[in-house]
Amino acid sequence: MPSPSHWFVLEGRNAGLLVQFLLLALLSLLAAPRQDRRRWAGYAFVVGGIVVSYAANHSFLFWIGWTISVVPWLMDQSIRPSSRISLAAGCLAVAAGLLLIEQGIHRDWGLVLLMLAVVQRKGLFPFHGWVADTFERTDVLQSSLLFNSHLGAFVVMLTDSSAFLGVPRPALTLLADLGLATAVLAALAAVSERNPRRQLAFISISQASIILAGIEGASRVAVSGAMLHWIVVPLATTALAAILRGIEVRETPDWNTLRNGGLAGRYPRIAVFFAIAALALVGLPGTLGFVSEDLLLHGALQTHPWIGLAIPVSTALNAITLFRLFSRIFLGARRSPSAVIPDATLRERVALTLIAALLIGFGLFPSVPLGLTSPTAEIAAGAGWK
Amino acid sequence: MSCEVTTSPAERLAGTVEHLAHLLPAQGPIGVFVHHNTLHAFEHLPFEEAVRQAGQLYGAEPYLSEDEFRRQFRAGRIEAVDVDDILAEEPDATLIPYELTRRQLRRAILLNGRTPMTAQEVRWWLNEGRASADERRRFAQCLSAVQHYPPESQPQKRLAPVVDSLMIRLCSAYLDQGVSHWPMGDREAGFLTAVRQLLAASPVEPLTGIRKEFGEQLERRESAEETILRLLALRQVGPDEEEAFLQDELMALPGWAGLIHRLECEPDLVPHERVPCSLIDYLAVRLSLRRYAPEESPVQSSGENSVPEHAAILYAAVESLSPALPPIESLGRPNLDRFREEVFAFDSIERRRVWHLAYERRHEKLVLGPLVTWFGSGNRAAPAGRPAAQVITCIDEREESFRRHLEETRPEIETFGAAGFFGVAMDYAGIDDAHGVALCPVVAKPRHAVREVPVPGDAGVSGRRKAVRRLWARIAQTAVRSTQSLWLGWLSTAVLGIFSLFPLLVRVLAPRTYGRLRAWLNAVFLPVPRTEVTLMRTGSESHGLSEGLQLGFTTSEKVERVASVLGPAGLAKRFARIVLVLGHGSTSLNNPHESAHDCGACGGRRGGPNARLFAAMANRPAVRDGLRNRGITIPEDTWFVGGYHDTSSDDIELYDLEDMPPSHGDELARLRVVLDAARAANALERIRRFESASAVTSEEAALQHVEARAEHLAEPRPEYGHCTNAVALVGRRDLTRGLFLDRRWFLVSYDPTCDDAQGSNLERLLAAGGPVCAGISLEYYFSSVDNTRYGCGTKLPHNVTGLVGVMDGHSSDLRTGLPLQMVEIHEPVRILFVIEARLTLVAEVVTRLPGVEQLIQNRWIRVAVVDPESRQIHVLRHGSFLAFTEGSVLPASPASHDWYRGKSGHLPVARMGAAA
Amino acid sequence: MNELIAAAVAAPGAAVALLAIAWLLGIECRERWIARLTGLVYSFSAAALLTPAVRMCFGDAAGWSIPLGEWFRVGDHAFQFALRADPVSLPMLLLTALLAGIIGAFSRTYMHREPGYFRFFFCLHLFAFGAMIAFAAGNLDLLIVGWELVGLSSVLLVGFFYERSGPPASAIRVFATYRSADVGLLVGVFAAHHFRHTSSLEGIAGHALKPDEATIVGLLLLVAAMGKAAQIPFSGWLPRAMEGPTPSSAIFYGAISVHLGAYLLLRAYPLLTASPAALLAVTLIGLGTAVHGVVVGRAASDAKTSLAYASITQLGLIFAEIGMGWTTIALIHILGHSVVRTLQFLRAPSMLHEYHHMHAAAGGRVDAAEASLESILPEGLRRRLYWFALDRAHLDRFLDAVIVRPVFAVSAWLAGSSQNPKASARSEAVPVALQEGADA
Repeated sequence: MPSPSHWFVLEGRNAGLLVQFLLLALLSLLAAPRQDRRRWAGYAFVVGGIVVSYAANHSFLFWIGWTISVVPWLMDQSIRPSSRISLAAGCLAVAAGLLLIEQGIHRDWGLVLLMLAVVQRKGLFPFHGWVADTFERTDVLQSSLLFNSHLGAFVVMLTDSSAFLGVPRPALTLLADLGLATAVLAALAAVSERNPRRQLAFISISQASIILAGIEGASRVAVSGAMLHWIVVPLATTALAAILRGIEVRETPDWNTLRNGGLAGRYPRIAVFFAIAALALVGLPGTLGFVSEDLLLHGALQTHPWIGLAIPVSTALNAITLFRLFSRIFLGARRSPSAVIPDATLRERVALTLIAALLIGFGLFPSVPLGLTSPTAEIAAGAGWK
Repeated sequence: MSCEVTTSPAERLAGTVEHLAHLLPAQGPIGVFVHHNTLHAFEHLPFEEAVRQAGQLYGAEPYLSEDEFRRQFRAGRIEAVDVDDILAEEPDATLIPYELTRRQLRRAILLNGRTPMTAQEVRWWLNEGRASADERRRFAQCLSAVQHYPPESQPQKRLAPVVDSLMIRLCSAYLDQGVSHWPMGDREAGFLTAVRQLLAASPVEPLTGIRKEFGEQLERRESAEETILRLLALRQVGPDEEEAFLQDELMALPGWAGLIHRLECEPDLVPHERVPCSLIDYLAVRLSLRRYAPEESPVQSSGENSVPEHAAILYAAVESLSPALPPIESLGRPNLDRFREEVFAFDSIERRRVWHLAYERRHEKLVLGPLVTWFGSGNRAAPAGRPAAQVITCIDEREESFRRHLEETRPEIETFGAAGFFGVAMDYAGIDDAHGVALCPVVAKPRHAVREVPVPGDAGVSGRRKAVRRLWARIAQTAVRSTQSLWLGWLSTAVLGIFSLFPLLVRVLAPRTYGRLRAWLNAVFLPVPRTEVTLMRTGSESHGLSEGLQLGFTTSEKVERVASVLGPAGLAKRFARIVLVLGHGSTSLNNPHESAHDCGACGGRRGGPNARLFAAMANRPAVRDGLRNRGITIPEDTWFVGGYHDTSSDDIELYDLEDMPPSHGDELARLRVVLDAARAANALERIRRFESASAVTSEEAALQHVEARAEHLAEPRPEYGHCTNAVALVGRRDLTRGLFLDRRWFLVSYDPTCDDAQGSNLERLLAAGGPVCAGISLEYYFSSVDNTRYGCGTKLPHNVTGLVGVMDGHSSDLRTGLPLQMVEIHEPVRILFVIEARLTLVAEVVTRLPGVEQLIQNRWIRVAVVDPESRQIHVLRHGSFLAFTEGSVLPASPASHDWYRGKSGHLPVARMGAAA
Repeated sequence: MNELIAAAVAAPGAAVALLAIAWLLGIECRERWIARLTGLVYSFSAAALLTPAVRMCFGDAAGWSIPLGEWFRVGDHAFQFALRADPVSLPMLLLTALLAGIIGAFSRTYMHREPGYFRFFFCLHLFAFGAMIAFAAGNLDLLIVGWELVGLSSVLLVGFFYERSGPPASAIRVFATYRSADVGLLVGVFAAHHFRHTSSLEGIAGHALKPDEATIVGLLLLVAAMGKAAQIPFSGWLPRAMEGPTPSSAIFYGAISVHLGAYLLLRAYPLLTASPAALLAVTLIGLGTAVHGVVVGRAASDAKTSLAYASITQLGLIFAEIGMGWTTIALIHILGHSVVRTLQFLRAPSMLHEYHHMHAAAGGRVDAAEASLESILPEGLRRRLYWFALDRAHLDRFLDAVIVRPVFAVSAWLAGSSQNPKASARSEAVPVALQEGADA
């Protein structure tokens, strides 16, 4: 254990991600409805835990952060036991894995355990259940914040760059391939879901698991793509989660009664924000999603030829699912505007406009985010064991 | 219902279907659109009850929305005093002794209240909104007051969207009048057989099992009734549930079912190909398909919202009464219960009913108030001397402004209004028509045929014309067809296609130029023969042209027809040298509803030939002799001229001028100048309503504008049709001459002084005009208050199908009623009949007309009576006539143009011609 | 000249940006303002494109290659922003500017007072921008950008009247078809990258690729083209797309959007020449589509479906022409067909009026059924063929059976396997939204 002054570190590899995460937390809090903001303790755990993990200069602190961030769900009775077990097992696996690696005994097993933790945290198949479950049954914005911290990918990146674990990266290719498979499978699973929150969870898993392939792809292009995707998925998912939650508190907490909701007439702005976020998530030209997917494809094509199929197929499926979701919520018999309930409140409007502006602005001028993420990308790509 | 024991199931079924058929829309093929009361099937009920019941049945709105009424209230179109008037006429009750009566409650809810919130809104408002502590407390009280109020649950219907889309496809193919090049087979055998043959033949089934089903039906030679009864039994629908079940099936696609029923009753309505139609067949097909179709599970609506929902309603009432009302927990149980019940009883429909009555009451005051003032002022110059000309137009409210402008341009002109078929009910075929069509109100069946034929010398010209037109038709047909076929299509798109750029550019960018070009081409290539109409018949010859029609009219028949128009109008003595009779119609492109703008009295067609024929009849010496015996003396030097007024382009065409004695040439020339001035002025007044024409300020520009509108492919509103109609005046023109009536009044010329003691003229006018004007008014009413259900929605996605109707997009129910673009500026009020006659006579006449009596008694139309002598006005309210004496301001203006200039909304009645 | 062409392509994009900014700032755009902007944009575009077109006609220039620099670059990978105006793309660009202008002028009147006026014109500009980029694209990467924008705007307009249940259902169907077919384009382009490390049009031309590589890329691009151009078995979406306002049906499904698929093949033609198999596939698909379009179209009983299948027929012929190597004829065919069909769509609501006149002029009898091949068929076969036509060649049924249902089955199984006993109850057993979207 280093001295307290060296517990935390802020440098190229994590500074950008930390800032990015804090911005995401801020946007989530901004967009959350008032009744959800009352659950501030949950936010405190998630944000605190993840900030600790990102900034940790020591594996123990990293583990502490990892664990703290899932405490709200470990305590939550409303989610399924299997999800809580999955989350707890993830924590234990990180602890055991790190311990084994640090101690230098059974390094390979330690690595396996760590990779399992990554799989769990990233919600890769077959450990995707907890993501859908927490999205569905607990605060969707907090869940999305937890998921979008992508601590799993962070671990891979660290492992990759050998920054503090100092391990080489065998078996990571397997992880990347699992990510690609998950991209397609989760997209498929989302198709027949009826619950929008679960649909969103599956789509997020699907889009986010491609990041792994990019990081692992180890070419500069692929890593840059992954870094951009690391911006796109959290931003878009957060916007969509906030919108789903906003619709819930406005219209009905029970999604089963909402069918051809026709809410575009009542909340035109929210509808447009939904469309922008959804289109960015599935890589429409003109948004950052297009750039990130283009880079991911070109960069990872040599190491992972299947990416050439996985990205087009999964984004096509996700696009169709999101459009059907959009249609279910916003299209259908028009409802006249309500005198009481506003279309996007000021807070929502600020948060969603900011997200939309980032997604489109970065999408039109991709050199800006490329510049911003280049320190992280360089470390991730350059320090590998090529 | 009589309970005959002997009724067989099949008979019972037929009875049920016949009964249910009345609920379907009665619109025929769209090519002959005729206005009728959308809720004709409910006319036996009082209006307020009918709209409520129909609203439930069709899922439609009975009145305008509450928001709209509140907007009208804020805008001053409804005033507090109107609401008070209405509430004062309804029974009152004490709700909380010494504190609150029903009237006070209702007034407060309507006038001070906020629109009640829904449960969702309450939830938002409590969780996220800015509810103050005080408001929260009051809401909590309301919540506890309704805690155990029973939740309402609505029965959900099970849907089978697959069946609907199949039925649409099949009906559309079956009823097709010539869009497809390959019509459905076996159509002559009826819908059921055709569908059975078709679907039993193909191994690719739309629904698993349906092939076998139809095959077995064919094998068993099952009748449609048997099929239905068997399938009902299979579904375990008992005899008492039968009606409700079949009603749901019919209501799934009311447009298509309605058209089939309509064609079953009147097969002649189809434009080209007659196909046997039967609603029973339709149901048999539908139920057969239904048997194999997966059904969507109904959406479960949870009843949990009902408590906050009720609390919200109560809360809105409490807020609108505060601070006058004490806190509701202090009211005491019985008072609170009474209060709560009363609040819930005054539900949205009830609130809107009161709003609507107030809305109409204000309208009545805006119409009758100025009339009282006008009659009181008594400064109407009695007409003196022989009029310069007389013009008889249709009673149509669109002609009101035209008549006014005629009179304004040349005050010596007199105008009259008569139903636009001018008493001549006929089956007419013009020289360019393929076969005859009925030019008369839909309720009548023509018994006389009239044909336009070339004059003896011009037979050759006519032949050439026919040949050229045939050639053109062939070219046009090939052009249309070819682009849809394979090799010819290749030729016409790949080789010749690019040449379409020219018509495309011209038609879109310069529609008027295109119209002129076409007219020029017609003038160059199409020879125009001189023609006459075959109106003569002597004795019993020339019988049976087809279907028992008689060719032409005998002299006595002619006399009767001419007298039926001139007599009631009081046009018996003072004839001008020229009497112009103008039929009307409307031409427009890109408008499947074109015929809705035509003359309703001519069955949704153009009334030019009727006017032409009327004039020809009235010019015959023998007819004039006959008329003299009936007390109508037409001077030797009076000449009738027939004409046609296009209400879309404001064009006027006069017929048979070559027959006119040369002595009338000058007069005609002068009249033409007046007509041209009036139609230009009319166009200018008309376009003030068009938002897109706000820049047009001169009369010439206005004429050009309306001409372009009629020719424009992209124009969904070539004209506004009957939109804004609100009043029908049955009386002398003297009553309103000089008043600006804003194109909202039907003007039926009726001279009470020329009528007999029984009022037979009035009876005839009301019998014909009453239902027609009521039909127009009510169709506009319903299409306005719920354009989605009662109307046919916006025109923009309409898709002409089978030449019989329009669908929304590629597959939907047939849309009936009026499109949004036709009603968007309408004020939905029931029409107000203002009848100039003695009160007792009106009451007497109405009792002889059961149809009209029902309309009046059940308040589908409003009635006011003007006494011909005293000019006192009485209005009918709650079954009795009350004197209306309250005059209101009657603004004055030098001329129409000064009055409407720069305004686009509805304008109040004003006096023209006075110094402002 | 380069700047002029680039500006012509960018003009609709500027309109999109302007409208978007106005919306974001909450500025109420007046109809007249939008109409003026539309007129300005397309007059400018058409005029700007006319100069190079005239010069090309007189043989002054064979074409222009317009490099506009890199959009972004990482390491050695750069996204090149390059336009190309040559005898293939320039006529299409001019046609787009012209027709978009005409449709804009038409819609100014047609859409007057429609609450979605702003939305309509936004989509129209977005579409024109996308189409211009796709036509002018100098490499396949950029073509994808335009292609996707066209698809998006097209779907937004199909669902324009979203208050009814029919248009959204049709929009989903169209979107699903587009996105599925687009997988072909994306994979094809990346396959080209994989093989040749380039996606520039020159880079993949001729025998740069080995025959089997060319076949793979060619067939993948063909899939994309089939989706956009409503070739069998994807043709069912085209009649369903007729839910939007008439002018959008005209420019999308009569004129520009449906021809984008054929244009892609024209662009990829140099590549296709390396693969006889791909060319044969193009020809066969085209001929099959043409024949099926004629048969189905003959039984269509409403104006827009009838026009949709008339378009499909000619699109099939255009494909066949490309497959047989008659690319110039195909290009002329595209231009002529676009213009004819646009006019026909715009006239569709006047059908009653015109039919009535034609009927009267013909003396009372317009032959509804001209004798044709089907009349010589035996009765049973004729009925079968009629139902084949009425059911739109059973193609939607076919796609549902081989694609939609399996996907939903797999999906339900996946969702059910996610350690969730109740998942099957929550998951959607019948894909309602993908089924027939009839509007009650």
